[in-house]
Amino acid sequence: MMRASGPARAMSRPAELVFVCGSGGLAAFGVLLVNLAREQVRATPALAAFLVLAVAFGLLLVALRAWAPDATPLLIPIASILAAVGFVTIYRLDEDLASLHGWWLLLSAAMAAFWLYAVSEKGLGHRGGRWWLLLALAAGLVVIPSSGSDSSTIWLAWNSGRAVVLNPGEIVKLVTVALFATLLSERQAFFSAGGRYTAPLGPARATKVWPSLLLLGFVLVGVAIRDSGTFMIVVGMFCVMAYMATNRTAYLVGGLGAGVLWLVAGPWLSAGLENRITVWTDPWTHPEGPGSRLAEGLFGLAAGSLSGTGLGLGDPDLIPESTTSLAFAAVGEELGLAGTVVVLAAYALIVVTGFGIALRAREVFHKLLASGLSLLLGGQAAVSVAGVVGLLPGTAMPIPFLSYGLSLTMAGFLMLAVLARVSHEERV
Amino acid sequence: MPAAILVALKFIFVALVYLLVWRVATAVAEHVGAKPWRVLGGPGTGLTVVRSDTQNGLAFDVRRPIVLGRSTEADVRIDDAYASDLHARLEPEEESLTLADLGSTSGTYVNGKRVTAVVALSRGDSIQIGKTVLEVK
Repeated sequence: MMRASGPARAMSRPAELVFVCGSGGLAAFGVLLVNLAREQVRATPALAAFLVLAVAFGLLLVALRAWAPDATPLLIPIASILAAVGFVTIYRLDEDLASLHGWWLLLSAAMAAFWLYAVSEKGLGHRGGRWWLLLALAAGLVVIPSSGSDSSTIWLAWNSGRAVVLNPGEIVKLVTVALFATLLSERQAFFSAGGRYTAPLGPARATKVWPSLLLLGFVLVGVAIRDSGTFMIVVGMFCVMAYMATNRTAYLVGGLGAGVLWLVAGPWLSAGLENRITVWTDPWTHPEGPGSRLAEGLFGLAAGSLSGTGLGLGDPDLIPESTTSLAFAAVGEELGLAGTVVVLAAYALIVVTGFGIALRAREVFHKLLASGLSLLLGGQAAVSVAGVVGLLPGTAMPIPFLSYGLSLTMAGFLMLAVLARVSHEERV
Repeated sequence: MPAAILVALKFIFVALVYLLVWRVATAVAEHVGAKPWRVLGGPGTGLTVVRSDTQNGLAFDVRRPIVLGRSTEADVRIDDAYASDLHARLEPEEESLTLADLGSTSGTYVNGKRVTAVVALSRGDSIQIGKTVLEVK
Protein backbone atom coordinates (compact mmCIF):
# COMPACT_ATOMS: atom_id res chain seq x y z
CA MET A 1 0.00 0.00 0.00
CA MET A 2 2.93 2.27 0.45
CA ARG A 3 5.62 3.15 -2.05
CA ALA A 4 3.26 2.27 -4.88
CA SER A 5 4.68 5.04 -7.01
CA GLY A 6 8.29 4.64 -5.92
CA PRO A 7 10.09 6.63 -3.27
CA ALA A 8 9.32 10.31 -3.09
CA ARG A 9 11.87 12.55 -4.79
CA ALA A 10 14.33 13.97 -2.31
CA MET A 11 14.73 17.09 -4.41
CA SER A 12 12.37 18.24 -7.16
CA ARG A 13 13.57 19.16 -10.65
CA PRO A 14 12.92 22.90 -10.20
CA ALA A 15 14.74 22.75 -6.84
CA GLU A 16 17.67 21.15 -8.64
CA LEU A 17 17.77 23.96 -11.18
CA VAL A 18 17.62 26.58 -8.44
CA PHE A 19 20.42 24.74 -6.68
CA VAL A 20 22.64 24.67 -9.77
CA CYS A 21 22.03 28.40 -10.22
CA GLY A 22 22.99 28.78 -6.55
CA SER A 23 26.31 27.07 -7.28
CA GLY A 24 26.77 29.46 -10.20
CA GLY A 25 26.07 32.33 -7.80
CA LEU A 26 28.64 30.90 -5.40
CA ALA A 27 31.27 30.87 -8.15
CA ALA A 28 30.35 34.43 -9.15
CA PHE A 29 30.58 35.59 -5.52
CA GLY A 30 33.97 33.90 -5.13
CA VAL A 31 35.33 35.50 -8.31
CA LEU A 32 34.02 38.87 -7.13
CA LEU A 33 35.80 38.38 -3.78
CA VAL A 34 39.09 37.53 -5.50
CA ASN A 35 38.85 40.76 -7.50
CA LEU A 36 37.85 42.79 -4.44
CA ALA A 37 40.95 41.54 -2.65
CA ARG A 38 42.94 42.97 -5.57
CA GLU A 39 41.14 46.30 -5.13
CA GLN A 40 39.19 45.76 -8.33
CA VAL A 41 35.47 45.73 -8.94
CA ARG A 42 34.82 43.71 -12.09
CA ALA A 43 31.42 42.38 -12.95
CA THR A 44 32.30 40.58 -16.20
CA PRO A 45 34.40 37.72 -14.76
CA ALA A 46 31.82 37.11 -12.06
CA LEU A 47 29.02 37.00 -14.61
CA ALA A 48 31.09 34.66 -16.77
CA ALA A 49 31.67 32.34 -13.81
CA PHE A 50 27.95 32.25 -13.06
CA LEU A 51 27.10 31.53 -16.69
CA VAL A 52 29.70 28.76 -17.07
CA LEU A 53 28.53 26.88 -13.97
CA ALA A 54 24.82 27.40 -14.60
CA VAL A 55 25.00 26.52 -18.30
CA ALA A 56 27.26 23.46 -17.87
CA PHE A 57 25.24 21.89 -15.07
CA GLY A 58 21.95 23.19 -16.49
CA LEU A 59 22.76 21.38 -19.73
CA LEU A 60 23.34 18.19 -17.77
CA LEU A 61 20.00 18.66 -16.00
CA VAL A 62 18.19 19.14 -19.31
CA ALA A 63 19.87 16.02 -20.72
CA LEU A 64 18.84 14.03 -17.63
CA ARG A 65 15.30 15.31 -17.91
CA ALA A 66 15.17 14.21 -21.56
CA TRP A 67 17.00 10.90 -21.51
CA ALA A 68 17.10 9.70 -17.90
CA PRO A 69 14.05 11.30 -16.24
CA ASP A 70 13.98 8.86 -13.31
CA ALA A 71 17.57 9.49 -12.28
CA THR A 72 18.35 10.52 -8.73
CA PRO A 73 18.37 14.33 -8.40
CA LEU A 74 21.23 14.44 -5.90
CA LEU A 75 24.41 13.93 -7.89
CA ILE A 76 24.40 17.08 -10.02
CA PRO A 77 23.91 19.52 -7.11
CA ILE A 78 26.85 18.11 -5.12
CA ALA A 79 29.14 18.10 -8.15
CA SER A 80 28.10 21.66 -8.97
CA ILE A 81 29.19 22.93 -5.53
CA LEU A 82 32.59 21.26 -5.89
CA ALA A 83 32.98 22.59 -9.41
CA ALA A 84 32.10 26.11 -8.20
CA VAL A 85 34.73 26.00 -5.43
CA GLY A 86 37.24 24.54 -7.91
CA PHE A 87 36.51 27.22 -10.49
CA VAL A 88 37.04 30.00 -7.95
CA THR A 89 40.33 28.43 -6.81
CA ILE A 90 41.60 28.13 -10.38
CA TYR A 91 40.47 31.69 -11.18
CA ARG A 92 42.30 32.99 -8.15
CA LEU A 93 45.53 31.30 -9.28
CA ASP A 94 45.40 31.93 -13.02
CA GLU A 95 42.68 33.83 -14.85
CA ASP A 96 43.58 32.50 -18.30
CA LEU A 97 43.55 28.94 -17.03
CA ALA A 98 40.15 29.56 -15.47
CA SER A 99 38.65 30.71 -18.76
CA LEU A 100 40.02 27.55 -20.39
CA HIS A 101 38.61 25.50 -17.53
CA GLY A 102 35.25 27.13 -18.16
CA TRP A 103 35.34 25.82 -21.71
CA TRP A 104 36.32 22.36 -20.44
CA LEU A 105 33.34 22.39 -18.09
CA LEU A 106 30.99 23.25 -20.95
CA LEU A 107 32.61 20.71 -23.28
CA SER A 108 32.46 17.95 -20.64
CA ALA A 109 28.81 18.69 -19.91
CA ALA A 110 28.09 18.45 -23.64
CA MET A 111 29.98 15.12 -23.80
CA ALA A 112 28.05 13.73 -20.83
CA ALA A 113 24.77 14.93 -22.36
CA PHE A 114 25.69 13.24 -25.64
CA TRP A 115 26.57 10.02 -23.81
CA LEU A 116 23.18 10.10 -22.06
CA TYR A 117 21.52 10.50 -25.45
CA ALA A 118 23.60 7.70 -26.98
CA VAL A 119 22.68 5.12 -24.33
CA SER A 120 19.06 6.27 -23.99
CA GLU A 121 17.91 3.98 -26.81
CA LYS A 122 19.23 0.61 -25.68
CA GLY A 123 20.26 1.24 -22.09
CA LEU A 124 23.39 0.13 -20.28
CA GLY A 125 23.26 -3.44 -21.53
CA HIS A 126 25.70 -6.20 -20.81
CA ARG A 127 26.53 -6.41 -24.49
CA GLY A 128 28.37 -3.13 -24.25
CA GLY A 129 31.13 -5.05 -22.47
CA ARG A 130 33.19 -5.68 -25.56
CA TRP A 131 33.26 -1.99 -26.33
CA TRP A 132 34.47 -1.09 -22.86
CA LEU A 133 37.23 -3.64 -23.37
CA LEU A 134 38.33 -2.18 -26.70
CA LEU A 135 38.24 1.33 -25.30
CA ALA A 136 40.39 0.33 -22.33
CA LEU A 137 42.83 -1.38 -24.67
CA ALA A 138 43.03 1.68 -26.90
CA ALA A 139 43.55 4.00 -23.95
CA GLY A 140 46.22 1.66 -22.58
CA LEU A 141 48.01 1.72 -25.94
CA VAL A 142 47.93 5.50 -25.85
CA VAL A 143 49.44 5.58 -22.38
CA ILE A 144 52.46 3.39 -23.08
CA PRO A 145 54.26 5.40 -25.76
CA SER A 146 53.42 8.80 -24.31
CA SER A 147 56.48 10.60 -23.08
CA GLY A 148 57.18 12.19 -19.72
CA SER A 149 59.19 9.44 -18.08
CA ASP A 150 60.55 11.62 -15.31
CA SER A 151 57.32 12.15 -13.45
CA SER A 152 54.05 10.41 -12.88
CA THR A 153 52.05 12.89 -14.93
CA ILE A 154 51.15 11.57 -18.31
CA TRP A 155 50.24 14.37 -20.59
CA LEU A 156 49.57 14.03 -24.25
CA ALA A 157 50.13 17.53 -25.52
CA TRP A 158 48.78 18.59 -28.87
CA ASN A 159 50.78 21.74 -28.94
CA SER A 160 53.67 23.06 -26.94
CA GLY A 161 51.54 25.32 -24.77
CA ARG A 162 49.73 24.14 -21.67
CA ALA A 163 46.49 24.76 -23.51
CA VAL A 164 45.32 21.45 -24.88
CA VAL A 165 46.60 18.45 -23.02
CA LEU A 166 45.00 15.11 -22.52
CA ASN A 167 45.63 12.72 -19.68
CA PRO A 168 44.45 9.30 -20.85
CA GLY A 169 44.91 7.91 -17.33
CA GLU A 170 41.66 9.58 -16.27
CA ILE A 171 39.68 7.84 -19.00
CA VAL A 172 41.53 4.56 -18.36
CA LYS A 173 40.28 4.56 -14.76
CA LEU A 174 36.68 5.20 -15.74
CA VAL A 175 36.67 2.59 -18.50
CA THR A 176 38.39 -0.07 -16.41
CA VAL A 177 35.75 0.27 -13.70
CA ALA A 178 33.06 -0.29 -16.33
CA LEU A 179 35.09 -3.20 -17.66
CA PHE A 180 35.47 -4.76 -14.20
CA ALA A 181 31.74 -4.42 -13.62
CA THR A 182 31.05 -6.20 -16.91
CA LEU A 183 33.62 -8.93 -16.30
CA LEU A 184 32.64 -9.57 -12.70
CA SER A 185 28.91 -9.63 -13.35
CA GLU A 186 29.19 -11.89 -16.41
CA ARG A 187 31.69 -14.28 -14.89
CA GLN A 188 30.72 -14.09 -11.25
CA ALA A 189 30.87 -17.86 -10.87
CA PHE A 190 34.43 -17.98 -12.13
CA PHE A 191 35.66 -15.23 -9.86
CA SER A 192 33.96 -16.62 -6.78
CA ALA A 193 35.25 -20.12 -7.49
CA GLY A 194 38.75 -18.73 -7.76
CA GLY A 195 41.41 -21.26 -8.63
CA ARG A 196 39.79 -24.14 -6.80
CA TYR A 197 37.13 -25.21 -9.24
CA THR A 198 38.64 -24.23 -12.56
CA ALA A 199 39.15 -27.81 -13.61
CA PRO A 200 35.64 -29.14 -12.85
CA LEU A 201 34.14 -26.08 -14.54
CA GLY A 202 35.97 -27.13 -17.65
CA PRO A 203 38.64 -25.49 -19.76
CA ALA A 204 36.00 -24.09 -22.10
CA ARG A 205 34.83 -21.65 -19.44
CA ALA A 206 38.34 -20.75 -18.46
CA THR A 207 39.44 -19.95 -21.99
CA LYS A 208 36.60 -17.47 -22.25
CA VAL A 209 37.94 -15.61 -19.26
CA TRP A 210 41.67 -15.66 -19.77
CA PRO A 211 41.80 -13.47 -22.89
CA SER A 212 39.89 -10.77 -21.08
CA LEU A 213 42.22 -11.08 -18.11
CA LEU A 214 45.25 -10.91 -20.36
CA LEU A 215 43.99 -7.73 -21.97
CA LEU A 216 43.29 -6.36 -18.56
CA GLY A 217 46.82 -7.18 -17.45
CA PHE A 218 48.12 -5.44 -20.52
CA VAL A 219 46.23 -2.28 -19.68
CA LEU A 220 47.39 -2.47 -16.08
CA VAL A 221 51.03 -2.87 -17.07
CA GLY A 222 50.67 -0.03 -19.54
CA VAL A 223 49.43 2.22 -16.83
CA ALA A 224 52.02 0.98 -14.35
CA ILE A 225 54.93 1.90 -16.55
CA ARG A 226 54.41 5.61 -16.16
CA ASP A 227 51.52 6.42 -13.93
CA SER A 228 51.80 4.69 -10.58
CA GLY A 229 48.85 6.63 -9.10
CA THR A 230 46.47 5.37 -11.77
CA PHE A 231 47.98 1.89 -11.39
CA MET A 232 47.31 1.91 -7.65
CA ILE A 233 43.74 3.06 -8.19
CA VAL A 234 43.03 0.49 -10.92
CA VAL A 235 44.46 -2.45 -8.94
CA GLY A 236 42.65 -1.27 -5.81
CA MET A 237 39.38 -0.93 -7.72
CA PHE A 238 39.74 -4.46 -9.08
CA CYS A 239 40.34 -5.96 -5.65
CA VAL A 240 37.48 -4.08 -3.98
CA MET A 241 35.02 -4.72 -6.80
CA ALA A 242 35.95 -8.42 -6.95
CA TYR A 243 35.39 -8.57 -3.20
CA MET A 244 32.00 -6.90 -3.56
CA ALA A 245 31.01 -9.28 -6.35
CA THR A 246 32.16 -12.49 -4.70
CA ASN A 247 32.40 -11.81 -0.96
CA ARG A 248 35.81 -13.48 -0.98
CA THR A 249 38.18 -11.75 1.46
CA ALA A 250 41.13 -13.15 -0.51
CA TYR A 251 40.75 -10.29 -2.98
CA LEU A 252 41.01 -7.66 -0.25
CA VAL A 253 44.02 -9.36 1.34
CA GLY A 254 45.61 -9.67 -2.09
CA GLY A 255 45.02 -5.98 -2.79
CA LEU A 256 46.56 -4.91 0.50
CA GLY A 257 49.50 -7.24 -0.12
CA ALA A 258 50.02 -5.70 -3.56
CA GLY A 259 49.98 -2.23 -1.97
CA VAL A 260 52.62 -3.18 0.58
CA LEU A 261 54.70 -4.87 -2.13
CA TRP A 262 54.45 -1.70 -4.21
CA LEU A 263 55.73 0.42 -1.34
CA VAL A 264 58.60 -1.99 -0.61
CA ALA A 265 59.63 -2.99 -4.12
CA GLY A 266 58.68 0.23 -5.94
CA PRO A 267 61.88 2.13 -5.13
CA TRP A 268 63.99 -0.61 -6.75
CA LEU A 269 61.90 -0.59 -9.89
CA SER A 270 61.77 3.12 -10.53
CA ALA A 271 64.02 5.96 -9.50
CA GLY A 272 61.14 8.44 -9.67
CA LEU A 273 59.18 6.40 -7.21
CA GLU A 274 62.14 6.09 -4.84
CA ASN A 275 62.50 9.85 -4.98
CA ARG A 276 58.86 10.38 -4.10
CA ILE A 277 58.97 7.95 -1.18
CA THR A 278 62.09 9.68 0.20
CA VAL A 279 60.35 13.02 -0.09
CA TRP A 280 57.27 11.62 1.57
CA THR A 281 59.18 10.32 4.60
CA ASP A 282 61.13 13.58 4.98
CA PRO A 283 59.86 16.61 3.05
CA TRP A 284 61.87 19.08 5.13
CA THR A 285 65.35 17.96 4.12
CA HIS A 286 65.03 19.56 0.69
CA PRO A 287 62.06 21.89 0.98
CA GLU A 288 63.30 23.90 -1.99
CA GLY A 289 63.95 20.96 -4.29
CA PRO A 290 62.10 17.69 -4.67
CA GLY A 291 60.34 18.09 -1.34
CA SER A 292 58.72 21.36 -2.34
CA ARG A 293 55.42 19.80 -3.42
CA LEU A 294 54.64 18.31 -0.06
CA ALA A 295 56.34 21.04 1.97
CA GLU A 296 54.68 23.98 0.19
CA GLY A 297 51.32 22.22 0.34
CA LEU A 298 51.68 21.77 4.09
CA PHE A 299 52.79 25.40 4.46
CA GLY A 300 49.68 26.44 2.53
CA LEU A 301 47.38 24.40 4.75
CA ALA A 302 49.10 25.79 7.85
CA ALA A 303 48.78 29.36 6.59
CA GLY A 304 45.09 28.75 6.04
CA SER A 305 44.55 27.70 9.65
CA LEU A 306 40.90 27.48 10.75
CA SER A 307 39.06 29.89 8.48
CA GLY A 308 41.65 30.61 5.78
CA THR A 309 43.36 33.78 4.66
CA GLY A 310 40.36 34.75 2.54
CA LEU A 311 39.96 34.46 -1.22
CA GLY A 312 42.69 36.34 -3.04
CA LEU A 313 44.49 37.18 0.19
CA GLY A 314 46.81 34.19 0.62
CA ASP A 315 49.79 33.03 -1.43
CA PRO A 316 48.62 29.75 -2.94
CA ASP A 317 50.62 30.60 -6.08
CA LEU A 318 53.69 29.53 -4.12
CA ILE A 319 52.37 25.95 -4.03
CA PRO A 320 53.57 23.98 -7.07
CA GLU A 321 50.87 22.29 -9.16
CA SER A 322 48.27 24.18 -7.13
CA THR A 323 45.75 24.11 -9.98
CA THR A 324 46.01 20.33 -10.42
CA SER A 325 47.29 17.79 -7.89
CA LEU A 326 47.66 20.25 -5.00
CA ALA A 327 44.36 22.05 -5.53
CA PHE A 328 43.25 20.86 -2.12
CA ALA A 329 46.16 22.75 -0.51
CA ALA A 330 45.15 25.91 -2.38
CA VAL A 331 41.58 25.57 -1.07
CA GLY A 332 42.97 24.96 2.41
CA GLU A 333 45.13 28.08 2.32
CA GLU A 334 42.38 30.53 1.36
CA LEU A 335 39.29 28.88 2.87
CA GLY A 336 40.99 27.18 5.80
CA LEU A 337 39.95 24.06 7.68
CA ALA A 338 36.33 25.22 7.35
CA GLY A 339 36.61 25.07 3.56
CA THR A 340 38.49 21.77 3.36
CA VAL A 341 36.08 20.03 5.71
CA VAL A 342 33.05 21.02 3.65
CA VAL A 343 34.82 19.93 0.45
CA LEU A 344 35.53 16.51 2.00
CA ALA A 345 31.91 16.31 3.14
CA ALA A 346 30.77 16.92 -0.44
CA TYR A 347 32.92 14.01 -1.69
CA ALA A 348 31.52 11.81 1.07
CA LEU A 349 28.00 12.75 -0.03
CA ILE A 350 28.74 11.73 -3.63
CA VAL A 351 30.03 8.36 -2.41
CA VAL A 352 27.00 7.86 -0.14
CA THR A 353 24.60 8.73 -2.97
CA GLY A 354 26.42 6.36 -5.33
CA PHE A 355 26.27 3.53 -2.81
CA GLY A 356 22.60 4.29 -2.24
CA ILE A 357 22.05 3.71 -5.96
CA ALA A 358 24.14 0.51 -5.85
CA LEU A 359 22.35 -0.88 -2.80
CA ARG A 360 18.93 -0.42 -4.34
CA ALA A 361 19.88 -1.69 -7.79
CA ARG A 362 18.65 -5.16 -8.68
CA GLU A 363 21.04 -6.10 -11.47
CA VAL A 364 24.53 -7.21 -10.44
CA PHE A 365 26.09 -5.24 -13.29
CA HIS A 366 24.37 -2.06 -12.15
CA LYS A 367 25.34 -2.67 -8.55
CA LEU A 368 28.99 -3.12 -9.43
CA LEU A 369 29.05 -0.20 -11.85
CA ALA A 370 27.48 2.24 -9.39
CA SER A 371 29.54 1.16 -6.38
CA GLY A 372 32.72 0.98 -8.47
CA LEU A 373 32.27 4.48 -9.89
CA SER A 374 31.47 6.01 -6.50
CA LEU A 375 34.50 4.29 -5.01
CA LEU A 376 36.64 5.51 -7.89
CA LEU A 377 35.52 9.10 -7.36
CA GLY A 378 35.88 8.96 -3.60
CA GLY A 379 39.10 6.96 -3.81
CA GLN A 380 40.72 9.39 -6.20
CA ALA A 381 39.74 12.32 -4.00
CA ALA A 382 41.05 10.44 -0.93
CA VAL A 383 44.38 9.52 -2.57
CA SER A 384 44.81 13.10 -3.80
CA VAL A 385 44.07 14.61 -0.38
CA ALA A 386 46.27 11.99 1.32
CA GLY A 387 49.09 13.01 -1.02
CA VAL A 388 48.60 16.67 -0.08
CA VAL A 389 48.58 16.15 3.68
CA GLY A 390 51.36 13.56 3.60
CA LEU A 391 49.41 10.45 4.54
CA LEU A 392 50.51 8.72 1.32
CA PRO A 393 53.46 9.33 -0.98
CA GLY A 394 52.49 12.09 -3.44
CA THR A 395 50.99 10.50 -6.51
CA ALA A 396 50.44 13.78 -8.39
CA MET A 397 46.80 12.85 -8.64
CA PRO A 398 44.36 15.68 -9.38
CA ILE A 399 41.15 15.83 -7.40
CA PRO A 400 37.91 15.39 -9.39
CA PHE A 401 35.78 18.52 -10.02
CA LEU A 402 38.19 20.70 -8.03
CA SER A 403 41.34 20.56 -10.15
CA TYR A 404 41.97 22.04 -13.58
CA GLY A 405 42.04 19.61 -16.50
CA LEU A 406 40.09 18.58 -19.55
CA SER A 407 40.41 14.80 -19.10
CA LEU A 408 39.68 15.01 -15.40
CA THR A 409 36.59 17.18 -15.87
CA MET A 410 35.37 15.00 -18.70
CA ALA A 411 35.85 11.81 -16.69
CA GLY A 412 34.05 13.42 -13.75
CA PHE A 413 31.04 14.44 -15.80
CA LEU A 414 30.91 11.05 -17.52
CA MET A 415 30.95 9.35 -14.10
CA LEU A 416 28.00 11.50 -13.04
CA ALA A 417 26.17 10.61 -16.25
CA VAL A 418 26.76 6.86 -15.81
CA LEU A 419 25.66 6.96 -12.15
CA ALA A 420 22.56 8.92 -13.13
CA ARG A 421 21.81 6.45 -15.92
CA VAL A 422 22.09 3.48 -13.54
CA SER A 423 19.73 5.16 -11.08
CA HIS A 424 17.33 5.91 -13.95
CA GLU A 425 17.28 2.30 -15.13
CA GLU A 426 16.78 1.00 -11.61
CA ARG A 427 14.25 3.73 -10.73
CA VAL A 428 15.89 4.41 -7.38
CA MET B 1 38.43 47.68 0.37
CA PRO B 2 38.75 47.60 4.19
CA ALA B 3 40.16 44.34 5.53
CA ALA B 4 37.27 43.90 7.95
CA ILE B 5 34.75 43.74 5.10
CA LEU B 6 36.91 41.22 3.24
CA VAL B 7 37.04 39.04 6.35
CA ALA B 8 33.26 39.24 6.72
CA LEU B 9 32.80 38.37 3.04
CA LYS B 10 35.17 35.42 3.45
CA PHE B 11 32.98 34.00 6.20
CA ILE B 12 29.86 34.60 4.13
CA PHE B 13 31.42 32.67 1.22
CA VAL B 14 32.27 29.66 3.40
CA ALA B 15 28.85 29.84 5.05
CA LEU B 16 27.20 29.73 1.62
CA VAL B 17 29.15 26.59 0.73
CA TYR B 18 28.04 25.01 4.01
CA LEU B 19 24.44 26.00 3.34
CA LEU B 20 24.43 24.37 -0.10
CA VAL B 21 26.15 21.20 1.14
CA TRP B 22 23.73 21.00 4.10
CA ARG B 23 20.77 21.22 1.71
CA VAL B 24 22.13 18.30 -0.32
CA ALA B 25 23.08 16.36 2.79
CA THR B 26 19.50 16.36 4.08
CA ALA B 27 18.27 15.21 0.67
CA VAL B 28 20.93 12.47 0.57
CA ALA B 29 19.91 11.32 4.05
CA GLU B 30 16.37 10.86 2.75
CA HIS B 31 17.71 9.10 -0.36
CA VAL B 32 19.65 6.50 1.62
CA GLY B 33 16.73 5.99 3.97
CA ALA B 34 17.99 7.66 7.14
CA LYS B 35 15.02 8.93 9.12
CA PRO B 36 15.08 12.34 10.78
CA TRP B 37 15.74 11.78 14.47
CA ARG B 38 12.72 13.72 15.66
CA VAL B 39 10.39 11.16 14.16
CA LEU B 40 11.85 8.35 16.20
CA GLY B 41 10.26 7.85 19.54
CA GLY B 42 7.44 10.31 18.84
CA PRO B 43 3.78 9.55 19.51
CA GLY B 44 2.48 6.57 17.60
CA THR B 45 5.81 4.73 17.45
CA GLY B 46 5.74 2.84 20.75
CA LEU B 47 3.85 -0.31 21.76
CA THR B 48 2.65 -1.62 25.11
CA VAL B 49 1.39 -5.10 25.88
CA VAL B 50 -2.06 -4.63 27.41
CA ARG B 51 -3.25 -8.24 27.62
CA SER B 52 -1.02 -11.21 28.20
CA ASP B 53 -0.56 -13.97 30.78
CA THR B 54 3.02 -13.04 31.57
CA GLN B 55 3.98 -9.83 29.76
CA ASN B 56 1.41 -7.23 30.83
CA GLY B 57 2.87 -3.71 30.76
CA LEU B 58 5.90 -4.58 28.57
CA ALA B 59 6.58 -1.45 26.48
CA PHE B 60 9.03 -0.76 23.66
CA ASP B 61 9.69 1.81 20.93
CA VAL B 62 10.08 0.89 17.28
CA ARG B 63 13.16 2.73 16.00
CA ARG B 64 14.10 0.23 13.31
CA PRO B 65 12.32 -2.70 11.65
CA ILE B 66 11.63 -5.33 14.31
CA VAL B 67 10.11 -8.80 14.29
CA LEU B 68 7.68 -10.04 16.94
CA GLY B 69 7.43 -13.75 17.64
CA ARG B 70 7.78 -16.66 20.01
CA SER B 71 11.31 -17.62 18.89
CA THR B 72 14.44 -16.33 20.59
CA GLU B 73 15.43 -15.02 17.16
CA ALA B 74 12.59 -12.49 17.23
CA ASP B 75 13.55 -8.96 18.26
CA VAL B 76 10.69 -8.86 20.78
CA ARG B 77 9.66 -12.22 22.25
CA ILE B 78 5.93 -12.79 22.58
CA ASP B 79 5.35 -15.37 25.33
CA ASP B 80 2.20 -16.88 23.86
CA ALA B 81 1.58 -20.49 22.83
CA TYR B 82 -0.54 -19.31 19.88
CA ALA B 83 2.13 -17.00 18.44
CA SER B 84 4.33 -18.24 15.59
CA ASP B 85 8.13 -18.24 15.87
CA LEU B 86 8.46 -15.18 13.62
CA HIS B 87 4.96 -13.78 13.68
CA ALA B 88 4.83 -10.18 12.45
CA ARG B 89 7.11 -7.34 11.45
CA LEU B 90 6.87 -3.67 12.50
CA GLU B 91 8.61 -0.90 10.57
CA PRO B 92 8.93 2.78 11.38
CA GLU B 93 7.60 4.94 8.54
CA GLU B 94 7.12 8.68 8.20
CA GLU B 95 5.82 9.52 11.69
CA SER B 96 3.99 6.21 12.11
CA LEU B 97 4.43 2.44 12.05
CA THR B 98 3.52 -0.24 9.54
CA LEU B 99 2.70 -3.82 10.39
CA ALA B 100 3.02 -6.93 8.23
CA ASP B 101 2.07 -10.50 9.07
CA LEU B 102 4.92 -12.93 8.37
CA GLY B 103 2.68 -15.85 7.39
CA SER B 104 1.80 -16.75 10.96
CA THR B 105 -0.44 -19.74 11.68
CA SER B 106 -2.93 -17.95 13.89
CA GLY B 107 -2.83 -14.61 12.07
CA THR B 108 -2.34 -11.03 13.21
CA TYR B 109 -5.35 -8.79 13.92
CA VAL B 110 -5.47 -4.98 13.96
CA ASN B 111 -8.60 -3.63 15.70
CA GLY B 112 -10.16 -7.07 15.21
CA LYS B 113 -9.48 -7.31 11.46
CA ARG B 114 -7.06 -9.91 10.15
CA VAL B 115 -3.96 -8.40 8.50
CA THR B 116 -3.47 -9.54 4.89
CA ALA B 117 -1.24 -6.80 3.50
CA VAL B 118 1.04 -4.19 5.04
CA VAL B 119 -1.11 -1.88 7.19
CA ALA B 120 -0.29 1.53 8.61
CA LEU B 121 -0.87 1.85 12.35
CA SER B 122 -2.00 4.90 14.22
CA ARG B 123 -2.09 5.77 17.88
CA GLY B 124 -4.60 3.74 19.85
CA ASP B 125 -4.75 0.79 17.44
CA SER B 126 -4.71 -2.61 19.07
CA ILE B 127 -2.73 -5.49 17.65
CA GLN B 128 -3.60 -9.07 18.52
CA ILE B 129 -1.06 -11.86 18.22
CA GLY B 130 -2.36 -15.18 19.49
CA LYS B 131 -3.97 -14.27 22.80
CA THR B 132 -1.63 -11.32 23.40
CA VAL B 133 -2.88 -7.79 22.71
CA LEU B 134 -0.61 -4.79 22.19
CA GLU B 135 -1.60 -1.16 21.90
CA VAL B 136 0.07 1.58 19.86
CA LYS B 137 1.08 4.44 22.15
